[in-house]
Amino acid sequence: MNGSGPDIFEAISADLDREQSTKRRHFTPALLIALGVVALLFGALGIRQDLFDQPLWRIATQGGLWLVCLILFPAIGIGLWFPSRALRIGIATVGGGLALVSALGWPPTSPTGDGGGPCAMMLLSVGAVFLGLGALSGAFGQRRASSSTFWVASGIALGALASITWMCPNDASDHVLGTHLAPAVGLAVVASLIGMALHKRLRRRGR
Amino acid sequence: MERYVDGDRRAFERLHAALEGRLRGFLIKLVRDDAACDDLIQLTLLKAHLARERFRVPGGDPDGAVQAWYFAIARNVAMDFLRDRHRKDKRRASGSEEGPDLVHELADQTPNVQERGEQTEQEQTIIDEVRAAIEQLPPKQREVVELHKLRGMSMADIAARLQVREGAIRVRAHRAYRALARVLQPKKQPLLGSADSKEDHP
Repeated sequence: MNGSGPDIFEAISADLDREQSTKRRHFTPALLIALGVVALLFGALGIRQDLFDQPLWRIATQGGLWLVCLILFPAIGIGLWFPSRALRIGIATVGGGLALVSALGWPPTSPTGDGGGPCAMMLLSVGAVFLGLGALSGAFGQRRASSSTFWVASGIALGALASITWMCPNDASDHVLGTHLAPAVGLAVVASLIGMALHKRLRRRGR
Repeated sequence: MERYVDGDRRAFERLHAALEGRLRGFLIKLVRDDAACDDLIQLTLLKAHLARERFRVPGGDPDGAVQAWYFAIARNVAMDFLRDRHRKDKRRASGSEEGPDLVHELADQTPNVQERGEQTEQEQTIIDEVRAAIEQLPPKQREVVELHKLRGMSMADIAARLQVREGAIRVRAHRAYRALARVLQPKKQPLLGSADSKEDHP
């Protein structure tokens, strides 16, 4: 580094730090708004009454899922954090595992035949709000590679899933699979497609 | 490089560590001035940083593409430096024959629009003729010249990429540059750089 002198190296490093600082400044309000939306939702519709009667490990996995969807996935998607490939695969796997276990429990509860309910619609509505927040904040266009949109989209879907898991007390596996997990997967796919379209437009416009 | 473009400072540090030595070697070969080399490296890094959003991998070897991109910027920086130095030397030489000429010393030293236009046209003609001459080379020799001179790769890297012995690559390069030297005017040889350089010439 002495060869090229400390000045330009430090100037570029400082510029990159400033960029990251700007991203954090934009991310924080978006995170607070997302938390506000979740708080309003729980305030209006209430959380499940047996939330704290669940086993501690299950509450912990649900807490882990909130961490993954609100912090880790968006941080990777918008370029606040650059984990190695192996770590990214690990985080994605853990995120998927947390989603399944926190929603279904372990072992999964037997099906009751009651696979219906308004949960799917509520999940998709919450997801739409998160998706709108992501789109308006420019989260989908922060990184050059379009694959970054999958992280943001997955965060949105997991956030909607975590919300509904804390609101719906019905743990029957057929109910959870049909009206929580399946819509969450669908939401992730739709959010990814919308995210990629927005990414293309934002990158063309130069963010 | 992608991570650096996205703002990862650690990625920039790793890139810098990987490229700095090679850039230094490349620039020293071009300008043969150790003192100026540090400034030229800084200028290269700065220009690359400002233009990093425009970097694209054309396909194939991404590491090679990153290096070639930096080397292309470094080459332009070096050419500007050499052109500027040549202009100053010329002015100094003409000034020393007649005694110091304060008017010329104080005058605007950048070429005027007409001179710049003529210079650009002349350079473009030379570039076109060099390109045409390269196109006439046999495919294997043309490939080596393009990778060596236009993409800034070393002989070792070219040999690894084409999966051929380095000695064979050097032989191809030697034949190619000899053929180009026969075809082109002597004044165009500096654009090719090290046709006579000892390091990359077999």
